[in-house]
Amino acid sequence: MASDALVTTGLSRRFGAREALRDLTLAVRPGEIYGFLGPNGAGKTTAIRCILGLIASDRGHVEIFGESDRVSRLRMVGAMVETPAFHEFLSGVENLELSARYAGLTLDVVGPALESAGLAGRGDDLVGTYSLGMRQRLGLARAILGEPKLLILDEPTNGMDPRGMAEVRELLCRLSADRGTTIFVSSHLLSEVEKMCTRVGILDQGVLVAESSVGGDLEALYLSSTEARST
Amino acid sequence: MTPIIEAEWAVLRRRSSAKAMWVASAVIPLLVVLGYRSLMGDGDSGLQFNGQPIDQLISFSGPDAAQFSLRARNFFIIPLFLFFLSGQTLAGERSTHVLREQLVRPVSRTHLLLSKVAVLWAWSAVSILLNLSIALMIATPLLGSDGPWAEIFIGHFATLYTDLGLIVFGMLISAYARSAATVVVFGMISLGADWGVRLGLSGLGFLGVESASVFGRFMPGTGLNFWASIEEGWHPEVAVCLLVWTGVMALVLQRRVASMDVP
Repeated sequence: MASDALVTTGLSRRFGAREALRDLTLAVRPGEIYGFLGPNGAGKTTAIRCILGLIASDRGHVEIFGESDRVSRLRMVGAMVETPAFHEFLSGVENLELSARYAGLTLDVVGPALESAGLAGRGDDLVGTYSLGMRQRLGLARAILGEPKLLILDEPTNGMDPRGMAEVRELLCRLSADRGTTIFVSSHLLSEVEKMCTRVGILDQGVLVAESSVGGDLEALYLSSTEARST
Repeated sequence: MTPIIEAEWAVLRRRSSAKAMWVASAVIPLLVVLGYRSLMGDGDSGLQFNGQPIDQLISFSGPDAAQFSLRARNFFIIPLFLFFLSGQTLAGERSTHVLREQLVRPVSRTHLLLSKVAVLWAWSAVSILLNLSIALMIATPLLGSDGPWAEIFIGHFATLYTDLGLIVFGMLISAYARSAATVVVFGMISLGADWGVRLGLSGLGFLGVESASVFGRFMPGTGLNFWASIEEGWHPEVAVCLLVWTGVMALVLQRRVASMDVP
């Protein structure tokens, strides 16, 4: 039986007295687009950072396609966390080339990734001259370098105009359909998630309060799940 | 690890501060040679010290100028650049979230850290080479070739070792700091404090407190001045002192980087 794309078991993280993440247990199946929903401060980014090994979890376990070692599991992952960061004094292409080197990929993966993200004409410009939307696109291009099996995206359409959001949505759906890429995407935009995802998990105050297939009334599920805990 | 080193080198060579360090390394010997030349004049500069012509007190050969140029390089200017670059490489990248983007790739934190240190060290090696070659190329034809050649080469080679100590120290501060400026300020204050303590200890040694001078030999600054002490003869304990301090700092740095949260 094939491994799940992403499995977290009892993932917990505390910052001082505040428990940012409590016993997060979820499984994302290969090929699906999993929406990770929750209000601001629910713990979505903390969960993503734990999954990527940027911060250590106090308890719990992460596996990506059966691999639990941080470096081994990141070989299969492309990620974008919050607002993507770049060396401002380098061009878009140079930033992607750096990332390809860190990932041990050849530099010929850069061109197709830039093209997929709709930045083919601006790759040689310094990142310092990019708008927020262009930075998001460049971050997305970096995440899809080398066609990873799992994409982990934290608010990927942040700062984008409606056309940009639609293009990103289309790109993610295409990656999932054509290459079978598994996508784990956090967002607070219910409409975006509804149009793109096959399944969602709702996080509130560090706890996974609901999991469901997309199809029913997502807004009602979201409100009832998050409301129940806040009252 | 080679691709990571290539990536780190590609970033460093585009940093203005790194380029400025090489420029400083080239300008320092130029200024020293010009200064020597103007002091030396045509052998009758008229400058005197304690009633003696200054060109009888100071040796004005090309190798001497190269030696003085190394002193000028290692006093304040290049340590400042090394601290700043160490700060940009770790504290700066951490606060601008660039470090996060490196660590979401399949890269071991220890390998990334080693690559950053190796690239900074290679950069400082080129700076030493620039300092030496420019000093000798200009000074020898202008001032002559008599002088302490062996000490010059050994001193420059030893600087490679002491620069590594400075880089590791800078990176250690960087692992706890939030900006390159903090690293420079804390680094320079630490070096100043170390110098003050060593001065106090040598004063106590002069007054007859033997343990003070023994203790002074094992201060970090004594190790970081290995390049200078070598001119006065071979002092293995100074080299060991630097090795121990660098090793301890590297160990603490590695543990810090391996366990720190990356925002």
